[in-house]
Amino acid sequence: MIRAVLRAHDTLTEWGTLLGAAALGAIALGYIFEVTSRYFFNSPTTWASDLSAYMLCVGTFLLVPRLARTHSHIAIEFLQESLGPRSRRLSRLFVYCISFLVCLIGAWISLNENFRQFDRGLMTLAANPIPKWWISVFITYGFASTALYFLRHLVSQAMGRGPEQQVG
Amino acid sequence: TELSFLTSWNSNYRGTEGMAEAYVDLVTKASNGKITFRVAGPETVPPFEQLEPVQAGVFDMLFTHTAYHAGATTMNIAVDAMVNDPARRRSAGVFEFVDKHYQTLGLKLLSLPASGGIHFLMREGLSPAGDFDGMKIRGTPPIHSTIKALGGSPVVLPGGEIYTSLERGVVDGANWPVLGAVAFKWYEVAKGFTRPAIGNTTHPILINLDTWNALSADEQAILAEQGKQLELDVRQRFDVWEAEEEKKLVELGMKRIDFAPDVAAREIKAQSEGYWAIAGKRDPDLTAELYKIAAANDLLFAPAE
Amino acid sequence: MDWTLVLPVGFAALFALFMFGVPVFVAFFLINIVGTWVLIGTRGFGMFANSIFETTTSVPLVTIPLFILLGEILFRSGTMDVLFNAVDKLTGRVRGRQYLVVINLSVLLGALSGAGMAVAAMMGRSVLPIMVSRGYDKTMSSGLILGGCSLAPIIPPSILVIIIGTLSDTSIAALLVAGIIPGILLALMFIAYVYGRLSLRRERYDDRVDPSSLGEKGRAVLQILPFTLIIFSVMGFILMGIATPTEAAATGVGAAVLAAAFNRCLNFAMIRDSLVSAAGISAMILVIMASSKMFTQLLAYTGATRGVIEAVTATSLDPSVMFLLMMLAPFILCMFVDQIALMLVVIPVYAPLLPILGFDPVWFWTIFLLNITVGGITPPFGYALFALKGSTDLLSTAVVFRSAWPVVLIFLIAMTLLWAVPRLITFLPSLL
Ligand code: NA
Ligand code: NA
Repeated sequence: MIRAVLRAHDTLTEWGTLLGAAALGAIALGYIFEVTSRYFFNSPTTWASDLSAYMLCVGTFLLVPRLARTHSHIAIEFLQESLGPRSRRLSRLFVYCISFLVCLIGAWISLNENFRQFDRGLMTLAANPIPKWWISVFITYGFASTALYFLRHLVSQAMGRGPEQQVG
Repeated sequence: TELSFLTSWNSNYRGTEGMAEAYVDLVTKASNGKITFRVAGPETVPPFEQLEPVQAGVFDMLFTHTAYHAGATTMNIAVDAMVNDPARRRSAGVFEFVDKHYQTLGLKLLSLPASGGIHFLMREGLSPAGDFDGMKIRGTPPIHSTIKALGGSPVVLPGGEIYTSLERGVVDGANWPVLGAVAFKWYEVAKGFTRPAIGNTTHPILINLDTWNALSADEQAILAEQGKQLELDVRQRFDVWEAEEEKKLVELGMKRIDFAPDVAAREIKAQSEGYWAIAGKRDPDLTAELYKIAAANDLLFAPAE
Repeated sequence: MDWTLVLPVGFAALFALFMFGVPVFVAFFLINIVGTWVLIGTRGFGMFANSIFETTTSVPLVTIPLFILLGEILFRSGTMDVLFNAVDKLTGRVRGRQYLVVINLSVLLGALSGAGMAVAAMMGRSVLPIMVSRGYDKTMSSGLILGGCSLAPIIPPSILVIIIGTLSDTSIAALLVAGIIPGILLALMFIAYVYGRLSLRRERYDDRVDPSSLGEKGRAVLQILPFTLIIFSVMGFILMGIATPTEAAATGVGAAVLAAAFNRCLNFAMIRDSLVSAAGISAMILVIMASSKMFTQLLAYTGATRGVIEAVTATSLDPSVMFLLMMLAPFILCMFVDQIALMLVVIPVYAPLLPILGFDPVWFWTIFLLNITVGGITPPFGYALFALKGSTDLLSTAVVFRSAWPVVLIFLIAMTLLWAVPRLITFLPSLL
């Protein structure tokens, strides 16, 4: 049962990764279209700039869980590396625990803000406004899924298996 | 009583000096120093995200522009398309109407000072047709319909990119309130500015409703009274400042570009219609009501046919 | 709470978390959540959430993933090997030629790539093995690769410039152009260093190469041409007013795809892998930027930002002394912490001080850029160090670390020179 949930979590992250990559592709194509259309056809778009801003947020938070999964987030580990095995294990437990809690609280704060934005009907400030929560909900997803990965690393480390090893 | 006061711009923006700081001075003096302020700028909260912390009570007061919280409400954007006559705005009930609307958002309106309208900084000049025909003009969303009405294509660019874009010719022109080309050194990259300036730039001063209700009746009276005074002061002060800036720009080598009467009429009409249309997007009923008030009191720049 | 307490406590807690190995973005978020809760209360959490939204929907920052994508496409498509071969052919039979190949290649890669890590890794895989097999000095080779890859953030395009320009509200176009002369200056200093050392100590390496014919050289020039198209569709588009810096990053990506197609290296898998990799790397950077925003907002909220400004205004320290202090602090700290994290806390504090001290922003931030860049090769913590070490088994960590110091010294000399002769920086932007 738990295995199935974890597998689903990983699958979701993989799909998120592809979607985030597509978001980046959309940014590039959108701007190439904008420049071509504006410079050669004298007809600038009003959506390219909005699109890129939205896709930056969406792409970033779709990729953040994957970075946690593959231990790719930037951390300064040279002190940790220099510790003995026992202290290193303890310090890893501490780091995973902190990271899990911070991301969980982050997800909770962000979710509350999503609901507030939904209730008040807040729109983005843009040439073509859209509901703000459509974009900000990805922040919540990023935090929540990342929290789950840190929890998985924590449990795995605590059970003596070392951090969950995964190939990015 | 100390009130924390959030502003959307630093002191280098003339509006901060001439409106927010002027209001602080007025209230401090009128209350004999009993009401004081702790001012925080955009480095504390980014301008477009400032309404929320004031609603939540993190800050007591806010000095901003209505477009900066267009995500929450659009109706008050229409005030920028209403004649800048503070006394008439008050007597017609515009202030009251806008105040009532802000109260539904947990805020109380203290003052509605307005400076001059919007003009266009032109890289070279106008098109042969005397308007924006075939030109690319940077514009904020409410001004897009004006740019189109003058034959141009609106380009979406952050304010921070105006200088380089004018300099390199990414755009042929850019909109901005009439004050700013000196401070941002746009005179270095634009040869002219257009007249007439259109509409006005209204900067509401708001206070968190709970904070307001917790104040004594005396304090409320002082804040409200000085808010009314500020609107009159600002009207005079900015007329002077704007005339000074125009003179300065000419001294710095910029050219005043006057639209031909028919183009100017097209511009004013498009601005008016564009703003009212945007205002009505989120709040159609309220905006229709406000429009009635404006029309009945001769506060429209260009009445719709 | 008084800022004189909040500021040192906030910074100390942040750096303690960094040193403990807590991911940088988690460290920032932890301080933000605790800081918001203590200083403002739970009603400040909306500000916390919106600071993340605000940063990650900021249009100028879109340039970051685009520049990374541009580099990924170049490195993954194998077009870099084409470039390497061409540079190898074009570098003549001179003393220490392999050192010169590294420097020449660095300048070209610098003009194509927005960040140094990929350059370090690429040279560690391609150039270094050749140098070692031919008996070139390992330490010297490693040092030159580190120095060479450090040109990437200085010669435009540059991700660090985008971050500095966005945070300090300085013209990104001016800052990009300002890096050209310092980048070339550094390259010249590297060459001087190579010949200085070769004249002092005889090295026994195999310098023989098959002389390349005129035809081969002509072909090499042709092979480089598509790359000039990329450089043109970034800096050329900006200078000609065809695109804003952000848009130019996207047109650069388009040109990189064309260059890959020209070299018959274009395929779907390569594009997909480049997109995934670039999205991942930029998410790594952007989540840190998003996390640091609320930190600087909290500093402003407690009055620390204004307090520091007032304190600096009050002290009548000589501007040169202030300059030295403002450069020394990041230099030392960059030995131990992430350059980007450091920039994010330092720039908002420095930016308002510049007008008070009378520093030209383009001049100051360009020297700051060199300072932050060299932070990537000051041991023990530096991305370029890790990237080079990670790319090869030929170098021990000790050799990589040791090899960095002469290059660091060259950077310091260059910074002093740029400090003394501001025109070296401000000349090109003034032509804009
Ligand atoms: Na570069
Ligand atoms: Na370092």
